Amino acid sequence: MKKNSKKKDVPVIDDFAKGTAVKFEHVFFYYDESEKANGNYTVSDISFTINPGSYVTIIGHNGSGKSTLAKLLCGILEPCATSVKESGIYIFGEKMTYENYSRIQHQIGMVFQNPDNQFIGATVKDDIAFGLENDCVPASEMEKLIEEYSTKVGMHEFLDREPSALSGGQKQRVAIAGTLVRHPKILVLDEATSMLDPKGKREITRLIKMMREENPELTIISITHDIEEAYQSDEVIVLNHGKIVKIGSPKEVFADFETLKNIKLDIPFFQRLQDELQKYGIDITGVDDISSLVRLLCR
Amino acid sequence: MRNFAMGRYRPYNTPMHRLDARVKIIALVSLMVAVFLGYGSVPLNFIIYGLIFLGLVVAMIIGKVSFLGVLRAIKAMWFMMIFILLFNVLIPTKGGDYFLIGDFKVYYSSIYNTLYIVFRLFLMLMITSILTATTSPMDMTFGLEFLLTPLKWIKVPVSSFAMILALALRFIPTLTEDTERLMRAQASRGVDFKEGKLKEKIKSITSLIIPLFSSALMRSGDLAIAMECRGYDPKAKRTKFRRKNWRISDTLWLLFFLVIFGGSIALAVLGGKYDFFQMFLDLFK
Repeated sequence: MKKNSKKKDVPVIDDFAKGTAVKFEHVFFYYDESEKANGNYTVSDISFTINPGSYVTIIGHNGSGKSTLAKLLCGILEPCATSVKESGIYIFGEKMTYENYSRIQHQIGMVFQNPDNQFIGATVKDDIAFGLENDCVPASEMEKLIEEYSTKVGMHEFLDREPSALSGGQKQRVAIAGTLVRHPKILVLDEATSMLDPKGKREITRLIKMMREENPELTIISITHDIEEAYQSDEVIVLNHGKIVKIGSPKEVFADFETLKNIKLDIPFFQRLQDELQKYGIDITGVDDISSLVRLLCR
Repeated sequence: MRNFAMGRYRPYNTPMHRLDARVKIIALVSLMVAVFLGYGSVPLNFIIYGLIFLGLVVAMIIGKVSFLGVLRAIKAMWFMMIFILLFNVLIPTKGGDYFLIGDFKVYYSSIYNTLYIVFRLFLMLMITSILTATTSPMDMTFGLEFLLTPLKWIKVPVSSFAMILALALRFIPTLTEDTERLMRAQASRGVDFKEGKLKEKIKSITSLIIPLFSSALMRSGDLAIAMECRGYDPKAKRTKFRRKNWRISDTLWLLFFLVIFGGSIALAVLGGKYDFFQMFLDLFK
């Protein structure tokens, strides 16, 4: 999106989207005209609402439009114009436009897939400081903030390290610190764990859990391939060919085996087990995690 | 490639490292000027080059800069040195003293000219490797941005250039890793980078360059998005995390290098008119 700083930029909250953190209303997007001519939109008529403080995962196979959705959400891409008046993306009730997108972007932090391609500074310290420099935070305050947030993500002892001396998981934790230090209200993780080893993945999952406990108001939107991660979230949005196939709590979504199988998505281990046991007359509904399940089965 | 010894930044805490990057860049410029000027007579030229050389050796010892790296770089230049020598010997000169190899006149002045060039290049290598080995990329970018401030007044986007430079330096190790990975991947597909004729080698390099470019472009696209998401706007004002405290020693060194800068120019201009070396010798007669 291009900026037009000459126009006045005052927040205008639409009643229509009041009280929501994110609202997509009939959003369409295509990368080139031929897609449009064939009616194959990358993102086609997407509408959903995310409440403040919730943890939502968006799942779908490759090419289902997940990452495009994330880019639309951050204002990097602009939705196509439609005939519907309300059509658009609303962040905390305010519709994202040419004029206000850079201000709205400030409320959204984004962590990307490739840990190397988002490490901007020469050292961990410089990288966390990058966002603060852009926000014109005085240097004396930066030092304090860097200390605070690097400790939060467990990277305090690595502050002077260069990116080449860090593991993928560590780089990703730095990226999260660099994003959180700007105090966003919405955190978007665009396949943030997909390039990490199992250890790195666990670190990030633990970090997300900790962030939620520490700041319950933070809305987390995670775009992921990891079905197990999706199972931990409050709400799951399933995408296929740029359209929403299913939306609801993980239990509701993953109970629908057939639909998920049709779009080549996996079912979480826990859900599969529950289903298999059900066939043998063992009911484990009400059990939420592996350890309590093991306890129940061993009884 | 990762073991590229010459000029690689080594994070020590020596007085050379603590010296402000701006002073070091000014020192680089003034020493370069001093090295590339001629001072009228052959002995005086070599005396001045010798003094600079001694100064640089001391700086290298203080800054813990590796001599080996510079020597290795010189070793890589032997072909160029022979080429320069041949060029200077074969090109007819104005005259002066000469000696004969067979029937061919070899003028002393052409040998001196070659020595000048080799010595100048050697000193240049020393100067730049001291700068890069003792100045972190971030400090260097900061220093350059500061020194190029006057260009901002004529609307040159100096901050953007500095950011580009910082990012380029930041991505050198990443791209090196990419190259190594690609080399292994292509080698496993049967591409031989080490042996074969020149034509074959060039062909095999193509199989490396194209994927490298494509991955670098993809990286830069991702990086641009990541930067925008963290609020970067090249036209907007930004604060600086890394502040440099200017110390008295920085001022003193700055003055010293400014004197060298002015002094060397003055000496070169006057050296064209008077033979200072002869005047010096005459003092003892």
